[in-house]
Amino acid sequence: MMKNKEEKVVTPEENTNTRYIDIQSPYKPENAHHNNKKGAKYKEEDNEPLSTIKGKENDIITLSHVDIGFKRGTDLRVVVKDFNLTINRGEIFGLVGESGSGKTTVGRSIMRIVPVLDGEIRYNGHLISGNIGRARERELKTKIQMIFQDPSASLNDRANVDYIVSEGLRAFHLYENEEDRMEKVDQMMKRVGLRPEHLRRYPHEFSGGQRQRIGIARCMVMNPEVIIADEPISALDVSIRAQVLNLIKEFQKESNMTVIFIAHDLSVVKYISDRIGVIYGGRLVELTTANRLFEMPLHPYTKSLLSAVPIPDPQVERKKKIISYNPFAHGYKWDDVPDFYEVEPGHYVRCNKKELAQYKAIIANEGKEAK
Amino acid sequence: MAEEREKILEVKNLSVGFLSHGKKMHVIRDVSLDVYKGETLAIVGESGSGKSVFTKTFTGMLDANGFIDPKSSIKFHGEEISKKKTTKEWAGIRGKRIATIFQDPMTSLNPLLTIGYQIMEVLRLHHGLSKQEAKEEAINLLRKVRIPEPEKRIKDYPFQYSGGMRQRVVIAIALACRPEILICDEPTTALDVTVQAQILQLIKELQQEYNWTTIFITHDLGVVANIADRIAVMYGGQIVEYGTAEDIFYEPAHPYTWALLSSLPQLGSKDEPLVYIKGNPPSFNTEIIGDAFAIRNEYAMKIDYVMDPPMFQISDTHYAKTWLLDKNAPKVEKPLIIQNLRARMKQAAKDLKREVGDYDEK
Repeated sequence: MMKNKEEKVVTPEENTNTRYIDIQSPYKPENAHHNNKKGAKYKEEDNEPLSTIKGKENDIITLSHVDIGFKRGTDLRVVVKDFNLTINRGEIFGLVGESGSGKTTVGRSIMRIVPVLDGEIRYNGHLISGNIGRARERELKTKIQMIFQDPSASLNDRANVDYIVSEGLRAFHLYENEEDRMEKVDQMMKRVGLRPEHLRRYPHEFSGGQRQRIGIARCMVMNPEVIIADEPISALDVSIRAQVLNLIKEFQKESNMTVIFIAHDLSVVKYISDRIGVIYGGRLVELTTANRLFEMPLHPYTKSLLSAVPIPDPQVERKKKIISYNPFAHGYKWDDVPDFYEVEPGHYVRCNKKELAQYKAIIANEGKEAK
Repeated sequence: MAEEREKILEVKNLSVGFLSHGKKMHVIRDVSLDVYKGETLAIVGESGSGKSVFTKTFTGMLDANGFIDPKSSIKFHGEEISKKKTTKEWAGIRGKRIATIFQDPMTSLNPLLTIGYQIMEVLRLHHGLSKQEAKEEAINLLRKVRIPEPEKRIKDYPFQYSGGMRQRVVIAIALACRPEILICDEPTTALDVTVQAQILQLIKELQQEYNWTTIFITHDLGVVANIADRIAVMYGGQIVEYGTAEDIFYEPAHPYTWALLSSLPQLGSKDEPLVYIKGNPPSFNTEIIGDAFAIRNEYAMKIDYVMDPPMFQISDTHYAKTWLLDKNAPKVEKPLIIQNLRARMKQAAKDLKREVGDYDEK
């Protein structure tokens, strides 16, 4: 159900505190649906398989007006607010933000690990959020797979590698007979640079990089269309990071999958992704292609992230000035509320109308200088 | 230049081993290194290269099954400290004159005690301050590490702090003793990039103020460019190359340093796959013969499998442990990335709109 945006504009009488202007109280009558999820009927009847494309050809995952929150007792904290994002088929999308910004939560909500409070997530145009029924949920899990951050925590210590890698195959019976399954698993092991004889070993016998490759094998053996990689290299040594990044990129090229790559380090994301979304405080603040983001960062938070990237050059690093981001420096008022605007084709920034005019001027200037 | 400076720590022929299942494993193999007063020394290496064990010997914090070879010597201000065993013997040095910051701030703070208590504890123990004095000093220290409203936050517990703030508190505790050497064991690995930059900045500023010596351990060469005066690269329990930051970043000589530098994603370009180091770090279960890096090294020669290379001197400050520097060794082409290293660094800096250094032009 799309929200009617007109009704949600907060008037000054209702809210004089500009700092908290965009937090939606779940207890207000217009937001009552936050608490009223139990017993909700299916949102729509949809019996087509997920692989048929409904709607736009190019959009594989769309999140529209998604709110995600966590409850502690009666206290509901909305961590992702009014999140809109379209992920194109076959791209590597980098989602960057600091810890606590909600980047992992967004990834998890697509996997249905975290329920959404409001809004909808669509896969190939089919609704995959909220109450969609068990059969549809199972179907979805053959299409979307996840690579987790900590390879030692995400693998079952008591299961051997054979079991870990083929668990998904068994669950959905994606093989003809035992031989076929073994062949699939063997091939995948070789593909990620491990040997078939490793199958009988247990996760603790492997190094961090090898464990992460088992995690990738487990995910790729399902032949998914979308992979959500949640900080897959943060816990790894620098020399091993390169292997894992190469592997993800190779797989993506080979089968033309879509990858959502979640990270906190812009330098890594720049190397791997086609488009980058920067997330702060549960909202996208900037979204554009990877090259353009480095060429023309507009939002102050993006600039502060860029200023923190370490460059392996002592001369440059010693001159480094860190820009820190102060979210209150924008000075947003109730009469000029920020929104996600398109500044130039394909380049979106969260700003209010005054800032939008400034950003547009910067881009116009850049064009003139180039000439 | 380097000889004129005062040596604060002299490590000579240090060998450290562990007893495991009745077998001796040598994890640090014959390492010699001098640390000068007031400098920042970075020790870089993969996990399992022995970099943490190396620095743990400075404060006598080896695990119970670890032992230091009797032939090795560690001198702190000329005083032999490698023979110290008991807590009593270490009391004047550990924590007081040589302090350590660990990787995960959550595990190095006690979750059951307030932040204030944990800082005051150190002050009262080492400096004999009264409770009231210690409290005032603790507030000062928290202000030093830029915790907002320290008067209020001093009563908080560690879980009420964010990761970056917890690391600041750990720095404050280390700061409380005014140590002469501060060992930072991967202090920023668990943190975000932005927070990491802030913590590095803080350590650097405090160092200028208190003029201590920092030993900085990390696996990420990109991080140390900012902070280090000198860099030592460790592999397989040995230091394979050391020199000033400029030596290591602009004229690396050891194939392992080449590999470490070229695998950094900051220097990678989108069209080509990243370079990575094949194989695994050596296992210490069996004795290592020859150069430990030989099996993973594409420039390895026959001698690398037989004989351990000595430390070759390249310049006054720059040393590397590889047979490639021997006068009989054939000339080798460095990998492409290392050949264009400066250009790639400049490109990376330009992409991020940073000021580019003028080292090349000199």
